[in-house]
Amino acid sequence: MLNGGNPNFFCSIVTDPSTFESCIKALEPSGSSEAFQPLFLILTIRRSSTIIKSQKFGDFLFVFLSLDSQIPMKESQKITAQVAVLLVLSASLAFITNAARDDRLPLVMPFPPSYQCPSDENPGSPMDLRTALNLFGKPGTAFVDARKGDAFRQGHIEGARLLPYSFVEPLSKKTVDSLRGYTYVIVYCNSKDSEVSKLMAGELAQAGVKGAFFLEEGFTGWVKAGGRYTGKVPGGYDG
Amino acid sequence: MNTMNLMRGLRRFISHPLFISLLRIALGAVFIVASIDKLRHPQAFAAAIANYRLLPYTVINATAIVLPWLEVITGTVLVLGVWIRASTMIVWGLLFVFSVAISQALFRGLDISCGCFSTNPRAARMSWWTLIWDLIWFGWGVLIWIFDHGRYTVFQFLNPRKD
Repeated sequence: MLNGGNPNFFCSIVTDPSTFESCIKALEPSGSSEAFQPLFLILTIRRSSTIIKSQKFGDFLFVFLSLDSQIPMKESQKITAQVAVLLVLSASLAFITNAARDDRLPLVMPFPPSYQCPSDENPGSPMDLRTALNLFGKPGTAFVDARKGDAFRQGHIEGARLLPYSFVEPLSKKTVDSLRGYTYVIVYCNSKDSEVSKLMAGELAQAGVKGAFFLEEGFTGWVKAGGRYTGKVPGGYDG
Repeated sequence: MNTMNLMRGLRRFISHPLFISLLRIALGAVFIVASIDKLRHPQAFAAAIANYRLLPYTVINATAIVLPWLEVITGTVLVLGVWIRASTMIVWGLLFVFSVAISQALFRGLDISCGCFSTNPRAARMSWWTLIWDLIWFGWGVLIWIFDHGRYTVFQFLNPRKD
């Protein structure tokens, strides 16, 4: 039993809020201190007349307001509070100044920027539908479907290879090597000017795959133009 | 015995208030200098972060906005000698994150520039030296944490009698 019946009761609890509430209830004058025994663990909670304050939080505020004042506090708590202040200050200034500038960044990037490489390789080039239709079925031409497996299984350009492209995952050497032998590698996605196919064609070109292109009109345009495909027509096809 | 003397001498040299303060100021300056180009070109810095292929692109911009400010404030605080341990902890955290990002990029064979001091994608390519420098600065942080007891700080310049 610890400090039972003492008005300056110290109750240490775990971080679970429900445990905290039960601790507060147990602190009522009629409460039995045995009920608190399992709660004497980590965080020290101090009881005042009506408000129960977290000592840590109180110390944090104190540090925040008085900076390096000579308050008795454990060094680690003080450092933690100072780190928190620096983080909050940096983030606040960053977002305020970003909002104030003309060339401000949107908080969420709408789409990843193209892969920028210090080498001087050519980026992926666009290929129009007519050229792609002419090249279809010819030796040395590969169609690469950069979409996810589900979309590919629903429908794709006939004979296309499924190589789902993920921005955060660079293309493997095996993938790149398997495409080196082709004269034309035509990457496509569902829609016109898809960023994913552009990025993938660009990355293939950077990795040394000559003749890497992205299909400007995408799979939808291909189907509209009468190109051969397997499975269903893509979403967004209205013809 | 000689080794012991050497170690003692080295410790005395490293722990000298002037030396450790210079180390702290230099480390702070590194972070301030590193932040300048990032603050001027946030778009390019976002692209540099994206090149690491580590973060989902939805958080890249927020990182590009906050990180340079964190660097410049931490660096300034370190140079001034205010909240030395707190700023050292942030420096450790930043250097740890940078080291992880650089290591994974090197292991994956990403042909990118570091984006550490310049946001130009055609700046010097990342190499193992980039990582080694990060680790050296991390080591400086350790020395500052251990030996810097707040001498030669802005407080002392403002109120020299307190010392």
